[in-house]
Order: sequence, then C-alpha cells, then structure tokens
Amino acid sequence: MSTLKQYDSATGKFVPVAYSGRDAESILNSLVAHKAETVSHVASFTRDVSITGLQVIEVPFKVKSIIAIGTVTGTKIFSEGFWGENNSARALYTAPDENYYSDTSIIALSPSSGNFAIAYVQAIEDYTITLNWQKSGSPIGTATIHLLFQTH
Amino acid sequence: MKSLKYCVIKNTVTVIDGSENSIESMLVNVQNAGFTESEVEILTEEEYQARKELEPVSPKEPTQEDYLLDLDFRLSMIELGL
Repeated sequence: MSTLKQYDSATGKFVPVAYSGRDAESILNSLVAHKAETVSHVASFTRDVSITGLQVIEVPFKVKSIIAIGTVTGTKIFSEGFWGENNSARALYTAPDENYYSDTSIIALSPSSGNFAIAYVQAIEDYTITLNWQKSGSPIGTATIHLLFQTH
Repeated sequence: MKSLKYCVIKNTVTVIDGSENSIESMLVNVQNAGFTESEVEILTEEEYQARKELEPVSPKEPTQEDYLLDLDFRLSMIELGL
C-alpha cells in the first residue's frame, strides 16, 4: 500500500503524514472508507394533509441537506423545496390559481384556495429527521412526498 | 429490505404515516399527530390499496372550463333552435 505523504519545507522532503497522533496508513484507510460511504438516500411517504404535528422520518445517516418534492394525490398541486445546513429552507409551490409562490418551508401544499399544509424541518438527529406539519384553513387530501437526503 | 407500511386512522384511508419507517417511529408520529395507538392500525401496501379501492369516489367538482363548455353547448342549442 502506498503511504500518504506531505511536503516538509524544512527538510525539502516528502514525509509520511501523521495528524492527531494517527499514522499515514490509518488516515488513508479512513479516506478509502469515507469514499465508499453512502452519501445519499431517497425516501417517500404519504400523509393526510389535514394532520398537523411532528413527523419523524428514519434515515441511514445524519442528514446535511434535503430536497423534497410533493403533490396532493389526484391534483396538479405541486411543491418543490430544499433545506440546507444553515437551517434555511425554501419552497416553490403551485396554488389553485396555477401560479407559483415562494415559501420558507420545505413543503408547501395548497390543495384549494386559502387552505395550506406546510412542513418545516424541525430537527436533524443522527438517524432521523423531524418535520413539523402546520396547516392554515382546512386542507383536504393525501400528500405524496419524495425526498432526497444527502450527507458527506 | 424495508417495506412500505401505512399507519391509518382505524377503518379509514386517512394516512398518518405511509412510509418505510419502523412501527416504533410510526407510533411516535401517531402520538405527535394527536392520536392514540388504539385509534390507528398499520396496513401493508396491499391492504391499504385494497381499502382505497373500496372507498366511494366523490363526484368531481366542475371546473371553470367545464362551465364554459356547457354554456357554449347551451348557446349553440339556442342558436340552432334545438
């Protein structure tokens, strides 16, 4: 196995790397293992849009970013949103007037005029994320949400 | 491989959590949604789809386009003296 080295300006030579008390082989093994890790995960869920409260979703790693697309079954209502590690989210969604609107949630669904189901990212844990579903008015229908989770 | 399950309000197709979550996580979501364990049931994909097929389909509400088409049809009938 080749040894990981760095240039030492004092001696003018390449020397084995040893950070934090770890030898070069240990670091190289960690890098190889890291490259093989799963860094993305796709999941889906359905949920009645009239139901509010926290929703736990299991994931295989600690999430660093999320892309969410969703619809209300049997309608042309659509939402596309993102969440990033700066704990900020943005969604674009279609309203019943067929225009696009912007929101600071990750999922915004408006199945009928004046009625909304909106999800915010509440918490990110090691193997779960929690969405906080809120509603305005009386949204009716079943949401289908597809999610792409990413880590590094 | 994880399988898709549907946690629904008993005897309905109102889904609280339709996902690959473990049953434990589904029951946490049930409580978070303000329901108790005795008020829900967990269905397999097949059971859920079968129940959905039995649900009565509510008549579709006419759209603005439907109204305009109907109006156009009625006006045509009057013009033609039918």
